[in-house]
Amino acid sequence: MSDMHWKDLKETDFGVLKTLADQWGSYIGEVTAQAEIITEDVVKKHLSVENFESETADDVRHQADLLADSLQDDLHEYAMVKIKATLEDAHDELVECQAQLFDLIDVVTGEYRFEGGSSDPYVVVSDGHYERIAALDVTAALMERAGVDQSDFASDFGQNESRERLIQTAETIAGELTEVLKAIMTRAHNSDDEAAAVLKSVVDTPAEQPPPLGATYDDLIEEYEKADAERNRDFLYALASDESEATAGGVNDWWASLTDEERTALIDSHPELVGGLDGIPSDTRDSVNRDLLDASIPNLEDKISALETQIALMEEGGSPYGSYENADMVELQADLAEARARLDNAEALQAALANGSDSGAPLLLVDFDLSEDGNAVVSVGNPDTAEHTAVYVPGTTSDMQGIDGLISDVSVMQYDADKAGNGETAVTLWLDYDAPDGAYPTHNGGVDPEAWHTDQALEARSGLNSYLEGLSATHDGESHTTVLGHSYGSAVVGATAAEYQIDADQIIDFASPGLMVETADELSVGGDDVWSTRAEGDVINAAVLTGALGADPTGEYYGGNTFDADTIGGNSIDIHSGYLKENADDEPNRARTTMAEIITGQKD
Amino acid sequence: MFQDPPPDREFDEAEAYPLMEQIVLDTISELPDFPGFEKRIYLRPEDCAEALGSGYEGWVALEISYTFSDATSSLPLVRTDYTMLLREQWESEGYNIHRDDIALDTGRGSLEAERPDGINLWWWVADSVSLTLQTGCIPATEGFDKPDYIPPAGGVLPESDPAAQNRMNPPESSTSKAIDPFATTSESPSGG
Repeated sequence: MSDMHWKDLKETDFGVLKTLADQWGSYIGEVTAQAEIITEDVVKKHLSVENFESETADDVRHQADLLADSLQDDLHEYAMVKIKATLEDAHDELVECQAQLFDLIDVVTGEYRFEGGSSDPYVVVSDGHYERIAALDVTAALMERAGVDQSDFASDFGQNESRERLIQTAETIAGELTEVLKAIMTRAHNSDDEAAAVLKSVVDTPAEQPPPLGATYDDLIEEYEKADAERNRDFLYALASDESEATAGGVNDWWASLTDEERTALIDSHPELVGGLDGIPSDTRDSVNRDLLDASIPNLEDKISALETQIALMEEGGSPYGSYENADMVELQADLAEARARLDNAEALQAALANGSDSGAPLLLVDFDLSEDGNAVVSVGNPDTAEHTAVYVPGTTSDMQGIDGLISDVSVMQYDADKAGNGETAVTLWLDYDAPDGAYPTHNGGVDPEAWHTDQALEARSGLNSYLEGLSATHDGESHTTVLGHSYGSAVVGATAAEYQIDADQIIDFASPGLMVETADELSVGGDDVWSTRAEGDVINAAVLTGALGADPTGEYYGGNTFDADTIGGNSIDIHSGYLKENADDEPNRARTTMAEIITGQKD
Repeated sequence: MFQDPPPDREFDEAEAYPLMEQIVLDTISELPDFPGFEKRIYLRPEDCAEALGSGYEGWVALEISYTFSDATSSLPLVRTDYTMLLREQWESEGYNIHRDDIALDTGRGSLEAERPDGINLWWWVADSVSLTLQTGCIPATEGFDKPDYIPPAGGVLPESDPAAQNRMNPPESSTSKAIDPFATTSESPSGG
């Protein structure tokens, strides 16, 4: 337990923590460079097979590699996370507490004073304040709080009663200030304790080092490598858990710090975690996810076959396991229905990927989930290497059964951007949320369709933000990113950009019911970089009029940019889906052209 | 906009591809010092019923495009001279020029003309310059999957021809070599 006294908090210069953290940062940079010299220059060049070829040389190279790898791991886990980040966190927190304490001191000066030790600080009325109350020389604020008026001082009785009430009020205020002081000191103590615990753990659990070369090396190295692999797996689990506070950028740093062998080991042991983790390079995720998808189909077919056989046996009057119980049958039938739905989703996704893109750009399966309606993140072109990246969020009724059409949509956007030039463009379909199933009042016989609600957009925010953050982390160099939303997808984009400082330069919304804000400036890309369009006759106009999902983004007072979209479609519902289609009347599709120019940075 | 019933068309899906390729050849044959396209792309055929309703069941819309490289697209010959020549060419052919928003100051924009057979020609001058052909809705050909290989016009190399890679039946082995960019007039899709 921290024994920091309020005087310590008041008088300590916490800038030293920041200075120390910065020094650790410099040290980490220098030692990381040395570790790279060991692997790149020493092992691969000076100690290369061309220069030294023997079993001992192999062991030495391996040992040097392990040492460098261990050094980099330790720099990350110990120096970066446990020391530098802890010092920075402690600095920020304690400086904040100190500022609050100074504010409190300003409030109490002259009237109250601090007493007590580090564990029980409290505030009392100062002697001078008591004396001024006795002399009825007090502030108007205290008199008002005490319910005392100047006219009460006219008589001795009134003066005495006023003094009592003023003293009681001053002591009540002292009690309230005590709570504030305790809250500040508790926060400071917690920060102090947390930092101490983390720093102590560095001493208590030193990093394991590779065994030295020698007689026992063969026995120890296997154990060391096994423990090292377990640490990587544990870390992967932690990163992939719902409770993880790691950023996609942090994931990318960690992944980059691993050796090829370590990455391969993690992919082999936990492909489902690697394939779904934002911050891991897109081509790696594509490779992992395609293998998972390919494997899922025969696995699901086997499962369905086994379930069907089991159900048939039970229906005949008795299962191989004995009794025929209704509960088991219901459970099996539910399992069968789920497995069939998953298989349908897997086959739909695989068929869509097999169709390829129109422009010849590769399709990357960045993420997928076969459960329920099914989700998928598929990129046309590699978003990590393209000069321009666009992320498209589709709207209501989007699901895996329509994945082929959705990939076709992003393929058209990528094709248009490819034609517009100014470097390569990759466009990603981001269907990693539960899109509403219906938008019409009579959908499923109900009068309360999902698309009129904000729930699904709000739930999608963290996922979309994480994907964009990951994209920024995995991109080679500076990226130019546009997020697009169609229909309800634009509400998802808007809700995300209103909540987070998203890693994107521009937003395009088309056929939008609203972006869940009242003005474009509420979106973190800024109003000047918001582009909106809606075609005449689009059925979405009805939703816009309700204002349920925010203000009309094409409205006069919204504050963004607007561009033209031609009316393409035979009725208001078809028009809503016509923005990426060829105009059957051979009129231009101006929305496609403009979106391509915005995505490729050709539209100011 | 809404069309009902479907218009009369002179060709169907299978006939459209060689026809559009021939139009590209004819178009560029009148462009002097043609430097060659970089890339050919075919869009996946679009189901007209999706956009226009059940009256268009069995109708599709096709779109193909040719794009110049970034370097070639920056040439005044392509950006300015060809734009002017194509405008003249399409006017003299009597095509309906229904869009001409090429900006006088920047030279950027689109020029679009519809031929009497309904095929739309779209010359787009952005950072890159491209020529796109759109059929509008035409009858789908029963049992037709994708066209047999048609050599690309204007010097497109096999590795820059995703149309051939994804949207056509595989080419004969002899056609996989690079195409002479200046021999476009002899490469008729009909073999002439």
